[in-house]
Amino acid sequence: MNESINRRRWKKFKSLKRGYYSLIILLGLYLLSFLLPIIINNRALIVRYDGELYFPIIKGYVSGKTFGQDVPGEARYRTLQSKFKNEPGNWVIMPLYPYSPYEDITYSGNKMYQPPSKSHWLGTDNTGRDVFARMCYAFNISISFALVLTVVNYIFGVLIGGTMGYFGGRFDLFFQRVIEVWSSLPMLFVIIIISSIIKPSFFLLIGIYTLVNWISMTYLMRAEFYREKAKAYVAAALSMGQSDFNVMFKHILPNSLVPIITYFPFSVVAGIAALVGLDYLGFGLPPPTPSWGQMLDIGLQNITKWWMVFSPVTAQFFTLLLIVFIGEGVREAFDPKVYSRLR
Amino acid sequence: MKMKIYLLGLACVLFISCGGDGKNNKKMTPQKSESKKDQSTSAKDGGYGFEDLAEGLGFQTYKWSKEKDGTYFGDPKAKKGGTLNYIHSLFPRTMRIIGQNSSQVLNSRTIASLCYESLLSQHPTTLDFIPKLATHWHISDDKMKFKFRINPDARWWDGMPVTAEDVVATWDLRMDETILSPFEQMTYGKFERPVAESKYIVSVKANTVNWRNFLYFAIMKLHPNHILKELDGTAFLEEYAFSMIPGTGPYFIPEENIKNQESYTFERREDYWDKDSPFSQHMFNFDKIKVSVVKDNDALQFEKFKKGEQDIFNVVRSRRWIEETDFEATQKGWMKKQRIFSEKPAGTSGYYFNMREWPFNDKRIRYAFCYLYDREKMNREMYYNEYGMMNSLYSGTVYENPNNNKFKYNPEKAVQLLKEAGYTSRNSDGWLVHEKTGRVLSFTIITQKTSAYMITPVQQMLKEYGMDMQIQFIDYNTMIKNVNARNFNVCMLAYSGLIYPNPESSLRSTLADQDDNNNVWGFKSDRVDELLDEYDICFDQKRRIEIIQEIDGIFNEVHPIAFSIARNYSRMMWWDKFGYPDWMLSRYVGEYWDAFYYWWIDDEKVDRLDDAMQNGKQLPIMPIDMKYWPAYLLELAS
Amino acid sequence: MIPTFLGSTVLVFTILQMAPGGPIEQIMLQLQMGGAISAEGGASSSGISGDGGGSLPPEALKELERFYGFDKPIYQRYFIWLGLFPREIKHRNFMVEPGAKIVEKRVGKKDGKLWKVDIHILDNNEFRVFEKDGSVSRYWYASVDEIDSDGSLNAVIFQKEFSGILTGNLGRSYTYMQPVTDVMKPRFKISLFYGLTGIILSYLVCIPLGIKKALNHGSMFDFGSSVIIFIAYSIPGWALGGVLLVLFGGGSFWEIFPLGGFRSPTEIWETLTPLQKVADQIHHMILPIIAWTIGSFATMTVLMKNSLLENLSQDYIRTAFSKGIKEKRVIWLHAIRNSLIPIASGIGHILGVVISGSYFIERMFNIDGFGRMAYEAILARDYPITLGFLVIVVIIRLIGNIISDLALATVDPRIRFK
Repeated sequence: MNESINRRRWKKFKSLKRGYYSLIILLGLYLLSFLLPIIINNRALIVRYDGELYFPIIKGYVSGKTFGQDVPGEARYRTLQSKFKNEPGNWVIMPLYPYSPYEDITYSGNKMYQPPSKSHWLGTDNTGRDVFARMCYAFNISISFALVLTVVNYIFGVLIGGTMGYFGGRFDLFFQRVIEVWSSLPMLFVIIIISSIIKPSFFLLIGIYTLVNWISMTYLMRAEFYREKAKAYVAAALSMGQSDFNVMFKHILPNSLVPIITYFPFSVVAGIAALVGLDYLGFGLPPPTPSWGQMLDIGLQNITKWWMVFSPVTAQFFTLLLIVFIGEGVREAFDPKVYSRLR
Repeated sequence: MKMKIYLLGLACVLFISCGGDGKNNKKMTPQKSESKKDQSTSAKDGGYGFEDLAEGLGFQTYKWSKEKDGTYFGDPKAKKGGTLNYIHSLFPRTMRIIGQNSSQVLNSRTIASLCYESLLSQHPTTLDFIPKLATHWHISDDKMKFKFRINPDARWWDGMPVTAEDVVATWDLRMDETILSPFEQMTYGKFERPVAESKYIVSVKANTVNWRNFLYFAIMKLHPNHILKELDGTAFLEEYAFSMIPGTGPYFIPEENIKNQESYTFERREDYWDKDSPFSQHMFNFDKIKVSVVKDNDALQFEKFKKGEQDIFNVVRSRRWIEETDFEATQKGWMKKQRIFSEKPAGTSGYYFNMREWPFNDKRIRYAFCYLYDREKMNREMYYNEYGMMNSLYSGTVYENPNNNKFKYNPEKAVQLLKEAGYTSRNSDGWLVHEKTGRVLSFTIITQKTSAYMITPVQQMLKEYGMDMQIQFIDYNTMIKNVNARNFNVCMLAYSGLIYPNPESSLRSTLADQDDNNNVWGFKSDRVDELLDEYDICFDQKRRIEIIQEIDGIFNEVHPIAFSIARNYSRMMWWDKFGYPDWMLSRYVGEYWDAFYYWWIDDEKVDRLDDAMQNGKQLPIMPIDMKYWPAYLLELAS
Repeated sequence: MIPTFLGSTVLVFTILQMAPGGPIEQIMLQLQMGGAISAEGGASSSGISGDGGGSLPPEALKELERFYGFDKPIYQRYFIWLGLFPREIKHRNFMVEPGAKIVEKRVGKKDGKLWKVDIHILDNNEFRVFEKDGSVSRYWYASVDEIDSDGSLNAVIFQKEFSGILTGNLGRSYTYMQPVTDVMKPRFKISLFYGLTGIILSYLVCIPLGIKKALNHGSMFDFGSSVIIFIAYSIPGWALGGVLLVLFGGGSFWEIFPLGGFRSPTEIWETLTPLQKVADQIHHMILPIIAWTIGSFATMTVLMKNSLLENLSQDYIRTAFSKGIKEKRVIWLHAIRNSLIPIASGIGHILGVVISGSYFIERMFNIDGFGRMAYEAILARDYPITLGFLVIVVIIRLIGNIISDLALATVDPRIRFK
């Protein structure tokens, strides 16, 4: 692909402030979300106790007895911090927001259904877990899920759709039928059945979703390859003795990237929405994984506690909005018509 | 295009064919029962005058008396009339009480109890047998043959007399495999076919000696022979799926009152054959009992109750009880809310371990789980201290072994036990690792999404001490399948309790290695097997209590379950317009449906409530705990 | 289309067999009395007697399998479901003593009278069923089930019927014990009602809005409405439904709309005047309809706007302008008509999607609709309903395509049906 075209597109994208800033914000938040364990956590960053330095955040499990705490199991760093205030020489550095997304009423001091307050910014849920912490962790998981899902989907979509478009004929016809049949399958069924056999995990869910979702990209790529195949450069490449594989992936694919790139953000939006839906129904990631869908579910069971509904919906809304803005920008940069499109 | 049009046509066929379903319009309006009395049957054969011969023939009966029975069969203050509205979360899958799909709680509590009757029934407070369709009964010396004398006054809704043939026909129906309810054949296959010895006397012989046999047969709900004789099992299933086969009970449901998936309304029968007997004259007071359906939406149901579309409401979750029942209507006493204590068996609920497999084949791990499972904390933090702790298979009943280990949160003991079991150190994730095998102590609990809020705190409690409990959400059917195929580590189940315990099905050793039965945990014990054998043929209630207590003790030593919490009361709310007996709900049932049988509309209270609501007046508020039965028990003991 | 239809039903049929649990397992569960979903504070019921816990006797299991048709191999079951193979129904067992030649069997009632048939036993243990008037029965067939050790025959008499989807019969629901079509009809009506209202509403809003946005492209109005559209696009309808309920359903803020339900309960509904009925229906509908249409609202408006903009930049419009035709006439007669084409071609698809119901929204607002029925059927392993739902969805898709074609033909002058 021509470098200068891409550079021009990038420039164009940068000039579209809304999309560009959305990209920066989202990227920033997403990268930041990988640091969540040291920003939002109940495990201390550094503890100085009796002249020695400990780094629980790196080391992981440190028993409470290490710090002279009379608790079985892991140290309670928040209590430790307030206790050390009176002990010169000993100190604890906690993460900025010292609550973990998993700690519930089991941890003494946590109460369920706390409305938003200074210590729990968005309140607590029905088992006393911090809503803000869960919301942030869920952000990371949602985006990661949607990104991986989209990439995997596209790989399948390109492979299958490309082959269909390139070879055409019976192969194409056969796969069209397969896709039609496949797309009529009630997906929830497949998920219920599979999750009854294996415990759903992040990658298993991606696998299941890919089973159903590869179709939309396939259609697009089939059309792209079909069109490109008729062009002169393909014939030229073939006449030079290039293998089909080479022609498909070295020549045609780079010329068919536009739909892939312009559709990408919208596929991510769909991926996030899908995970939320699945978690809401209880067939998503295993608990206690923080997820917006699960939060929404318990929120709707307790609709008098508005923060439990608003937090996940708002978080999801802003995330999706950012991605839609990016998508709009990308589309405009690649397809210089002057109006908005939404997929 | 041609294909499309063909399929379009198919669609039309589908929808047209929905319309054409002819409805079975056979109306079932009950006729006035015949007042003619049957004088042709001699007293010896059970006709009028049998009462005088009964004792000589070895028959026994139970006579109502004011001092003994007081208000236990309804309060004399009760008045007939009015409608009771109740909302349930399910519509019955059939209106039948026998056969496929009929064994739902809903069917047995409402339809079976209000519309159909059995030969005898049980005293709500003492559990003695009392006459119903039969006035007298006789048990042979070997306790295997029973005779019943049917009341010549008993009438089906259509006016036909109840006879011995009805008992035989009902037994035949229940034994018919084509009614697709194998439970019936398992229960009634324990008897030989009943024999109609005369018009009113029926006898039946049990195949084995078992103290339960008489109970089972006596409380078998009857259907009329004159209808059944023209039906076989399949036809019965089809014809009476959503219409009522005639019964003898005080209520019936006219066919136009059955609105599938929406509601059904019971109507009281003025010509109920037993309406003047002391056992039922003050019961069954509402003219209509309407059961509407709101599916799967507890919040909506509660809203409807608050708007007065429902009269009584049974509060299941503590949070609602504590946080959402404090509003104008309850503060001003227009709406009553009470915890009504009873001797209702609490059932068995908690975490069921699969003792067939690692890690719960090790008693120390089971014990450690129980010591780490801080139910008191959960009760305190999540359930508003509303519950008691369950420490027995028979919690809240006389069968509970008082010496059971009452597990309390005790991490030191747990850690000690885990150490003994070989889990001495933790890996970097904080999970316990076995010192020899290096295996991480990690297992999976299968559960439904709706239970998640009860389980995640336990998960955190175990995590503290390095036990890794993974949660797997699956749907109900899959969960049951997995439990029945013993394909689980631990699962959370709640079994309802029985007034007469039946440990056979869940504790018998031979069942431990079979699938699809209630021995979920894989419990085996020779001593318990011995006791079970003795229990079945023991006719002495005192000894039976001893047996069950010993079984309970042995069970608790093995401890295949982490008991959770127990509730020995009902949390009820109702609009203050009802009258009820002093004890409100009966001793052993103790649930809201008792209101269907014993409560009535109190006109004075209705006026008072109207007045109070219009003028914002205060009505008296009762103390929240209603402890008639605990007090009764104390009095019995003293 | 037929191969697709067959393919997808075969696939679903097979997958259904793999799902754990089913009607028979549910009956076993009932046997294990009281096995309940764990509720807080334990199970809620108790009983006097109860003898559960035993395992299912084999005869009973056989009876149940026969009732549900599970005694047949799966490919046969599929053909039975299609209606190409006869379904065996109304089984009744009977015994034949060794050496007996004729057995009389009561087989229910016909025309209000007892119906009895004679079963003649042929030498090779085959049966022939005769009516009492001596004719060979048109209804009943009999076959040997088992031969006992003493030579007596356990036999079964049954009716055969071709009842599959090709004969318009979707079977009988396991959960509701009603014909599938009876279960579907009221729910389908509800979803159809919502679907059509939703579509009409969104067309009424989106088309004018899209036109206005296109004509005023770049204006403040365009920008402002775009923000709303982005917001609408970024929030799933059902999640918005939840927020609306919290806000307006009387949870924490305002109590303006009911918490759910299709309309007021029947007994209240029946007392209303027609005008009140309309008001009541609208009152119940507002929140769900918003949630229902929010998704299509955004895409449809943008589609309309883009399509119009695209057309306005076409040569023929410029030609029209240059010919001196009035601006209004150009826009309304030519540009808008042509830009409706993509919207029209989408109508069938949207119809299909909307009518198949949205489980999420129906659950959230407690509406007993089509989507919720399907979801519950899946969880309850109600195979007839699940398969029936699939059939209807496929058919709706087809109808949707046809409607799309028709709609396209009305707005696109190049297409004419001959």
